[in-house]
Amino acid sequence: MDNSIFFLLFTLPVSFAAGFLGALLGIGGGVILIPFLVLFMGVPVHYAIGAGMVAVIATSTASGISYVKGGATNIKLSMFLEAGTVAGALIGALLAARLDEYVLEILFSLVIFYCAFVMFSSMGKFRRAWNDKVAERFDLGHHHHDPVHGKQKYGVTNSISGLFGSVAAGCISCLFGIGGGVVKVPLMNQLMKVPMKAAAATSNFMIGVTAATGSLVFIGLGYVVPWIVAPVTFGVGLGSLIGSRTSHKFHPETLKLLFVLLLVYVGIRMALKGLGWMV
Amino acid sequence: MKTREELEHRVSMLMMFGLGLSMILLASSITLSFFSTESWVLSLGIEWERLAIAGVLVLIATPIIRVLFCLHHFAAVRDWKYIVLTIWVLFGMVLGVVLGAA
Repeated sequence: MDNSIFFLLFTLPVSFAAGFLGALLGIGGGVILIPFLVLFMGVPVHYAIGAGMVAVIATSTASGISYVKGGATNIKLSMFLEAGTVAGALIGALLAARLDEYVLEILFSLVIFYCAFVMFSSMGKFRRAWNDKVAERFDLGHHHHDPVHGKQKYGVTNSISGLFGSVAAGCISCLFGIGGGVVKVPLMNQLMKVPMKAAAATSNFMIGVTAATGSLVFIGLGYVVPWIVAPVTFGVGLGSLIGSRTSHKFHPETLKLLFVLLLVYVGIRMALKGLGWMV
Repeated sequence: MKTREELEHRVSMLMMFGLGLSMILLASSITLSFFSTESWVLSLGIEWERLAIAGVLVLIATPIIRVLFCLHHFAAVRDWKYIVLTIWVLFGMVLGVVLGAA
């Protein structure tokens, strides 16, 4: 492994694609980048996770520029749920050493398959909701731009269940070293009735905060190395910038279908890892 | 910074600045890495690895400053619920780094 044109030639386009998809779907892109770096580029897994963590911040920041400016990101909802994610991350840190990793991976894959099933079966059936009492009190409702109907207001429901769900998302992020978008987007879209594009934009905003903490830890441990992290972050940043600027061209149901496919992919990977059939 | 739109504008500008600076540093480090043994690069006294790490640190600082911007906004409008939530998020970030390092 050295800093070579070969590494750049392969890593830059894949990082660009991961950033593009990450910005569209509200995920950091680590679920695409980490397997690529480990399986195809021969990067040791801890270094790949370190690069993946920094890449999540690049996705979050790059996509946030246009999502926040366009009003798609719900900053208050992100802060409300981030409070739960932080608690979950701390619980995850305490549990990490005490739980059997393989059992967790199989359980996580079941949760992911369930999310994929719920999202797939709800396609074309999304119903807007009114703010519940907690959402009213915390002013969680917001607006977003619908390609067909223009500026649309939406309410947030099941706020307390969503908060507990984000505790679980934080716990999972910490235990598996992922941004947690694969849990946060279905949670907001299916449970809290946040429109898909607003859920993806808000998830993107949140994962940057979680990943910043993780990245500092990985730098301290020496797992963030320049020759890996520089091309990965640069590619992801560019991909996310373009992805977030083209998201208005995609129909919400197309994004949902892409997200379901991503969930199935992550679920299969996690199940195979849990069963010991994959590194 | 009293309205939600004002907060959104400032946060968006912060992210544009953070990402822009980070991308410039990372692109410079990638370019310099190919000429790291050339005499003109050595005479500059800049190590490409340091530039890359500087780019990463700028990127990491951006969401942290973003949370501080939110705290400033909620304090300006005296929204106590969100002041408490934002301080809790900041506390969790610090504790996460301490626990992770340990």
